[in-house]
Amino acid sequence: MRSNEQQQRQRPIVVPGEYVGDSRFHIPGLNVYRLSDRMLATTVGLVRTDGKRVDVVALKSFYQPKAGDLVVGIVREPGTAGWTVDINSPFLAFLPLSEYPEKRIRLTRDSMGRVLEAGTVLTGLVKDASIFSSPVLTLKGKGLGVVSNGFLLSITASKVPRLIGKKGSMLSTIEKGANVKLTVGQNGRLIVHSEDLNVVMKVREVIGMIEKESHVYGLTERVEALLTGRRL
Amino acid sequence: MGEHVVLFNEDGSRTDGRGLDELRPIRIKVGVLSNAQGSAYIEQGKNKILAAVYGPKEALPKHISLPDRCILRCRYHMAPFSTTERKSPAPSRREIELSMVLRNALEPLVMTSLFPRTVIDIFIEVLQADGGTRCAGLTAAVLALADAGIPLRGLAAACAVGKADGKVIVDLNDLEDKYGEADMPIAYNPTLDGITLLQMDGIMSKEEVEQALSLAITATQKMHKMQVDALRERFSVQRRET
Amino acid sequence: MSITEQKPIISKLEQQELRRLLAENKRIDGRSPLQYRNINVHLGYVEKAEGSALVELGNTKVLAAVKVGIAVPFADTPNEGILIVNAELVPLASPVFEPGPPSEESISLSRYVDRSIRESKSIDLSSLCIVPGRSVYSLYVDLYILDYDGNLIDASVIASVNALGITNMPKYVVEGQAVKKTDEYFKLELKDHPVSITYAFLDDKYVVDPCLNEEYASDFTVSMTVKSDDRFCAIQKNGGGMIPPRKVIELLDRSVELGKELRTVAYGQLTAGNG
Repeated sequence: MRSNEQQQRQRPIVVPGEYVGDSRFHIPGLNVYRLSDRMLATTVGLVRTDGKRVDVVALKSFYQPKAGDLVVGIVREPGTAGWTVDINSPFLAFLPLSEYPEKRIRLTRDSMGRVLEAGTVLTGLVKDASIFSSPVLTLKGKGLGVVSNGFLLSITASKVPRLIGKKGSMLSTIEKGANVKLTVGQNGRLIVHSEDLNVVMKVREVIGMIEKESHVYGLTERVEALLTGRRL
Repeated sequence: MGEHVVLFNEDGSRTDGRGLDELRPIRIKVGVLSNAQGSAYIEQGKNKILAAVYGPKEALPKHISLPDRCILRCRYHMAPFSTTERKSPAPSRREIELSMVLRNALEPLVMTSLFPRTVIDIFIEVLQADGGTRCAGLTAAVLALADAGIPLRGLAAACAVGKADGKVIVDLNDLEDKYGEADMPIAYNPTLDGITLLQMDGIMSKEEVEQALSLAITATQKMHKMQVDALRERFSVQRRET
Repeated sequence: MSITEQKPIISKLEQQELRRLLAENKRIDGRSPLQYRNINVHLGYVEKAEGSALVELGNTKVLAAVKVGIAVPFADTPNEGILIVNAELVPLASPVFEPGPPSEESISLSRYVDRSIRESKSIDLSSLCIVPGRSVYSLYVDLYILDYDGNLIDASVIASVNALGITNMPKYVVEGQAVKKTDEYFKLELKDHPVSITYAFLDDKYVVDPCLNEEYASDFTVSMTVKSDDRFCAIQKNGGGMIPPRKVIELLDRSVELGKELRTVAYGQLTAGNG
């Protein structure tokens, strides 16, 4: 049983209200707030220091859109001059007509529903995001648009950086190991560009592993092993 | 009331064998429901209570939303089979009051200004009741909020202290709640040294209230440690069955 | 479900003014932080009730009326009379009171006043039994809020205790299998005269008997009901926010002090034997 060994190599988990540093020497970062001299965590997560800044990487969080994020969305319904899109965040996003790439279509309220039906999956870029209004999406750009084939999978949004890895290392490990292309949205949704069910199953397993073990050392090796069928 | 109910044994211990400042056995599990964003289950003595959190999500209808912060919707409810006499499923006046009291106790912990115009739904369901349900419910609800990844200023745990036969006691069970001399539920956040839920009914002198308060702080601090452990356990690696 | 309310907006300027005044221990109506507004009690205000009192606490007006009847006792207390307190936030009292089923505010108010009376043992319910297990007296205390300018809790407790204090109970006697009303009356005996003290917190300072704007601007309130022997029979924190334990202890001391004076003013007519 490797469990004891595993436990020793796990990074310590902090909980809301837990002390993570002294604000006289550090700057509060992600999921950290200041209470006079103390810096405290706001979510359950792992402490990460980046120079003077202390972050808590949440082990579970919901996606909060930032301008420039690539997201995988699901069309909800046509609204006035655009469509509302579910991007797996507390707010529904809005895709304005002006950000839909095909200009020559003259759209009425009825035809809008036919151009982008409810349930359509698309990859878009977050154009505008403030907490005071709905995030705005655009489909204008390379590689953006409707996704008609492939599989849609989900992972907790805060695990996306782990899924991508440093300079994309984890993502290329997976793509090479499973021989498939993935489009990963910052909002925790990803597209597996394949028609092969076995490939999807493999990718699902990998996602599951990353979901559960993102804070354990040696994850990349274990993902590799899973994909190549080797036992570590 | 009619006959005098005996609340202490001959050796001075309470009806369930506990000492004056002893908590009932507590079991906590975080992340027990698959649909809710966050959930937690608590057993405290014979209490069995489930808490679930949905959100933050868009607050609809729009008129209930607030422009600069998220709102909370809280429902404390007892299942019809949770008590000896069947309880009607319709919300009683007590449940309406407690839903409000619990919402007020949870709200100060949530960093609501981070999610304007959204709502967080909190459901507390008492499956089996044995005194101190609002406290156990709050303890579980806080964990459900943390489980959902909602930013909190800290955790809070709650415990009902009180008085029976002139003695100040901790964590009242159902008998002590019904037949004792005073019942004082308290929720406390150790990070900010703040009480978010405070009620008392019965008869207590100022000194007794002070003493009970101090015991409540100690008890909730013990429960806070259990909450931390439960959260850590929830997010640790599942042992592989090899 | 309990939903975060749309609190009536009090302007930023008013909020600032309240806090600045409080920093110098002053209040908007010239009172000191631990001072109550003027209290007027009109005993016996409505004749058709067996007991009643209209209380004016500053501009807040609460009318408490007691209706006496007989009823089947509750199963778990077969030898005790029934006490039911019900508060009505009458729409004419405030633009924020709406007609409809009881809101959580009115239920919470009713229940706190009930606890203040019941837990203080001001009424000996076991003395209101006519036929054990079959017939007992019922006391309905209806609180009618007529004008809302803050601090409904304290005004309601004072109104209720005054109304009960002058309640004339119609005497019922057993005649064979039935219980019959006679022409005789007897006074409802009050064993205690509890008062509640409500504190409104703005940041870490507090004021007693908040007026409407102080209530709106406050983070939360704490009410404490004190009996004549200086013991507490009900405590409730209302609203969000947090209070440090040492502040709670400070309030306990304050309540004992303030309780003595408030009791004299609130129940002066009662104890002088009026009504």
